[in-house]
Amino acid sequence: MGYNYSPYWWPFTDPRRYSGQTKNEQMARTRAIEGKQSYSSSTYGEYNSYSGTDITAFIHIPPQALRGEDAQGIVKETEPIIGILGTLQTLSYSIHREVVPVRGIGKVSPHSYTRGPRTIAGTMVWATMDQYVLAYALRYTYTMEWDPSTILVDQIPPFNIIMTLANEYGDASTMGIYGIRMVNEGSTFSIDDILTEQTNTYVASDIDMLHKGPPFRNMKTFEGLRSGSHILLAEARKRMSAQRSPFL
Amino acid sequence: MGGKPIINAELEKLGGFLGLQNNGPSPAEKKYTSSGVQAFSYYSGTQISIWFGDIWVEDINHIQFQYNQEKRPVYGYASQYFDSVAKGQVMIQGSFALNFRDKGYISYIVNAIPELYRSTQTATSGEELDARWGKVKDVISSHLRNGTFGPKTYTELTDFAQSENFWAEAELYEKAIWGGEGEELDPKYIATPDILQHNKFPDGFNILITYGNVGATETSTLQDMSTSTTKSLNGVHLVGSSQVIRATGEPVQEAYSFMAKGMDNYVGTSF
Repeated sequence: MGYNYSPYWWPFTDPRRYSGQTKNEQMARTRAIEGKQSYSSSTYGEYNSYSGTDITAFIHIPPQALRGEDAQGIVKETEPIIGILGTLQTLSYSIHREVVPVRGIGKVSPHSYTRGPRTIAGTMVWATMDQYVLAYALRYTYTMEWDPSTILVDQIPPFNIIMTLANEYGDASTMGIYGIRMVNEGSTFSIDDILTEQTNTYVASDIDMLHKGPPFRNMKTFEGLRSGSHILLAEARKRMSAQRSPFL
Repeated sequence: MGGKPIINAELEKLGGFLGLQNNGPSPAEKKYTSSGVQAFSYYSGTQISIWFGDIWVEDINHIQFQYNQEKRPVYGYASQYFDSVAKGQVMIQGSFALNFRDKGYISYIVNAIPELYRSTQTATSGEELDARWGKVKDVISSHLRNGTFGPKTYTELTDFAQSENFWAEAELYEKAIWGGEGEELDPKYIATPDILQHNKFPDGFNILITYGNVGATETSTLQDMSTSTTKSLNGVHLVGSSQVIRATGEPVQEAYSFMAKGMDNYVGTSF
């Protein structure tokens, strides 16, 4: 990936990402990134909180499969894109669960409520500098294949945003939003604005709420479960090994 | 001896006079028990899984079915109301739709349902017992892993273990459970699901619908028992399919119609 010294897109490996941070903060951020910060760790006092300036948001675009994957599952893929979102000003999320009351004749109150499908969505507000805010994501997403159309943000693969929150007292927490797909985008260029902003709305597949240490996640697996996806993948492997074109 | 009830009755009377009569359970008992306002015993589609045999078909978007039995009232002479009811044919018809991913999706699934019903009809030989037991154990563990262990399975296993041409049958079982290498389905040709199903399962296969957390965790409490159940469609035959493609953002759906022989029979095995 190489270093890019643009102030609004810092590669994860850039040593300057720690610049201006206290020793405590550096340690805490590292612990937060590695998931080693324990639930109760707090250097000063019982409670700690964060301001917006204590938050760093990383983008993570997972590796994408390239042509040449073979049937044995040896995958040729792109490098993952990991970088600090330096121009992200605001990130919001909302979780919506469709619940429907279960009613019966003769009762004013519902018997219960069903738990229906869930949608995770939110908005991002960016400060626009001298390039499109996700210019690097678009650049790295672009493949070698010829495509006459513009690459826009709704075409980039589903990506993740990991936020690390760390204050000057050494308290650190993490939050993750996964499988983000951009839905809307808008920006206004105006003589009335001292700063140009861009707004995106997104939907996401999953979210880890703000936490210290390991996320609140049930890692249980169901041994022996065979699903349609497993079978479909096995068949796709079979077809790949036979080098079969979908037109045959 | 008899003083106490009288005292209690007096106290009740006094309580009633003071407005302290028993009004049923206390607010805590009434509101916060699992059978009260916190009850969760109704299902939406998000808590339901559809299984073909032992395979979770997670792309099914909806399923519907209708059970019908012909019934005819029998009127005796001069009877204003019918005297009896004659029962006729039973028919279960339904359909399901899945988010389309691959033209062979249902064929692959039907092809992957274990064919454990192949019975072995041979006599006991009593030889190679230890070596055979190893193979039988494989079959048992496969049943346990796939959740397909039932009373019929036990008979099958006994017959299998005691069969004369054991090794040939062991190979047959292995192929049935794990599939042969490239010989089960030629990737150049995929039979349509109804044809494949008819050839592979002439008596149909089972669709299991699980409501709640069946199988995901061990059922251990009364709450678990009262908030999970299953329904099954037995002897399912696929009869048709359809697809509509539109230039909108919704996932393309492929719908299949089916008929079934029975409903809510015991599902001990996948066929």
